[in-house]
Amino acid sequence: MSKSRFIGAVEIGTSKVAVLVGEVVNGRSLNLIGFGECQSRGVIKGAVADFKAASDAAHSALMSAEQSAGVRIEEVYLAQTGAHLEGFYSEASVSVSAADNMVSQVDIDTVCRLAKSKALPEGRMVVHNIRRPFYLDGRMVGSNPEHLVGQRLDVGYWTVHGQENRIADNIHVIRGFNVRVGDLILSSLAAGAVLTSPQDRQNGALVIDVGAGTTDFVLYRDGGAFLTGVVPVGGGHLTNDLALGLRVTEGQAEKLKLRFGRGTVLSKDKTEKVWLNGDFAIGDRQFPKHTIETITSARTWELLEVVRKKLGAAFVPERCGAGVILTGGTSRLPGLTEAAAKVFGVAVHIGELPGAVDEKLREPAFATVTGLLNYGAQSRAESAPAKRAGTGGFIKKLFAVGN
Amino acid sequence: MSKFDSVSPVARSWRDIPQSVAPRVMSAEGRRRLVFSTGKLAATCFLAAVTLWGGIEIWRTWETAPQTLAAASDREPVKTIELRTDGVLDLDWVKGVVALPRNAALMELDLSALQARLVSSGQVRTAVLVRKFPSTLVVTLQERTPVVRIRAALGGAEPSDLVIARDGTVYAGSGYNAELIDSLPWLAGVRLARAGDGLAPLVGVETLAELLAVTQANAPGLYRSWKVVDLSRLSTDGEILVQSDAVPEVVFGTRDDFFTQVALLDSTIEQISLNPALGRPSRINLAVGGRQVPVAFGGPALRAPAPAPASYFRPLPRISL
Repeated sequence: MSKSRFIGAVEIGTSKVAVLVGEVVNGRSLNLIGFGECQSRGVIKGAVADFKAASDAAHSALMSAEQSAGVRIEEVYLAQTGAHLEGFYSEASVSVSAADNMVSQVDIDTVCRLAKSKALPEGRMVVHNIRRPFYLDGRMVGSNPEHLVGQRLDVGYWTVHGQENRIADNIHVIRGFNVRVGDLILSSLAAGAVLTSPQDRQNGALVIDVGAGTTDFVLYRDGGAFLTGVVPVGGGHLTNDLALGLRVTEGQAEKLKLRFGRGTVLSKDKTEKVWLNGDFAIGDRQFPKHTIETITSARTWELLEVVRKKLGAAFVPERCGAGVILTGGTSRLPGLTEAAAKVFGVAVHIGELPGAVDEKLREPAFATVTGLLNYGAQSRAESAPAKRAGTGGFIKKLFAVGN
Repeated sequence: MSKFDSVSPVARSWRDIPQSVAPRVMSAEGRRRLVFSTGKLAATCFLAAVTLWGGIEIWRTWETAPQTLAAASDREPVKTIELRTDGVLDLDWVKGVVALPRNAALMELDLSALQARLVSSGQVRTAVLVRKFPSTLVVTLQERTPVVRIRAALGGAEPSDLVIARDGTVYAGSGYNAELIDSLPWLAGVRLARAGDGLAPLVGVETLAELLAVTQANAPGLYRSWKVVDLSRLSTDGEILVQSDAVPEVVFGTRDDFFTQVALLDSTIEQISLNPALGRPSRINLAVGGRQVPVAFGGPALRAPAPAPASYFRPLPRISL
């Protein structure tokens, strides 16, 4: 008899809250069965600023998704972003303990514990510990060095940590709907999981998720995530720049950005003008197209430069064979790929979701939430065999009813 | 203890954040879900407790006095018989037919045999017997309704009156109102045959029942005057003969619809009664078909009908537009 679990993927973004409902059958196959979306409120640059407003928006999207799926969500995978997230690299090495120099599970556990044991400042919490490949006597040996022979085992971790209260706020928004948060996943990792293939990750790829309030990125190398980061700048800043530069309202600036904004300046004619609304109604005005493009491209370049700077020496064009993959709502900005290609010096393309995903969800704006579900279900399936089978399942279920 | 256990503690993870929130922080939907899940938990606990308690009780009873359990399930005698029927049979009749032995245990009853006994009476079309614990036998009956009656002497005994249901089943009716039985016409022209302990169902009664139903519904006066219905020519000529107070022989055909034939009969009798010179009809043949009704005369004139509802088939009022 097949057993189904209904899980939800929630992304509380600056501009929208998106919820996907997935049915995990027998802990293996994943079916997308529901979707809910709501305009976000009370969220600034990916962080909850107004708990009540953010809760209302998130719960509305959750309810809409549950109605669309016709089931109750049992557990949520929550996307985490925000400028408070930071990362650092730490590594450790141990001498192989066995007399015959064969690496044992104890050696692996020890070196991993040592690498992760770095203390964090007060108020900071680990969101992800991303392990990099193991090295045995300086030779890269992948993800499982057990039974290999060598003298020194090294491993490094990219640790992503964030402000405790910001993370707690996000979790409490979901708990306000009385549903458990099963996993907290970095937005960039979620998007990267669905936009890159194992081959891309092996060859090296940079995924940049340009949202409304933040830009998340993840650099893949040697088959895994090598480095992640968040820049508190997004499409909303382009809108804000236009509003200030052209002296229009945010709404009008958003319209102009969507219609005429570009990542690179294309217009050569400085006198060419475009209408604000184009309906010749009272209040309709003209603006130089060149100015709009200059403003949006300047901010876009700045944003991409910041990402490049944050990547630092880790980004080597020669080790980024799969190129740069852009996603997120703002990635639809014309000329963004050209700008990114100039900044990073590698091939750039807009990320495409797998064909199995519904047409509506194939928009770059839904890459994170789709990847969230995928990543969450995958990581759960990978960790499942490690669990002990037996009566514990029933007892756990009995007491999980209240959750 | 490993030498590495003394390294600095692993940094706190987001999983250390408590996920419990006060209900006041929740939205209305969240609170609703909380109430629902709490209720579900409470119901699960209650069910588990009841199951546990029940199990313990059974185990204790089994340990101390196992015979009590056996008696509870096997030896409880039938104290009540509950009857549900759509007809006229009463509880005494049922008790008489099933004839349960004194202190018969509910679990030991052979329900199939009892059901067969009830159905063999003929009057019962279907019988359903259900054990209702601890000590009640529920009998649900569907009964046949008689359409004609017949007098027969079975096995050399005194002639007795039997009734016949629509499906041709012949049985000794029980519990029927005497007026109902008296209103039924007698059946002639059939041969009764034995089948097992009872009589074989008669063929053609369903067609006759249709004729009687049409007449009873549309011309109740005519129906009341019918004394004998004869099926002797049904299988050969497709005709039903009726002997009534007014006409010694009325022939109905089974090829045309009975409603038209009854209407023609009513109209014919009315016409004859209005013309006393014609005399009394000895035979009206409605089996010819169409509007033609051959009538044979040979008796005293019929009485003129009463002025009021002379005919049960009155013409429709003319409506001028």
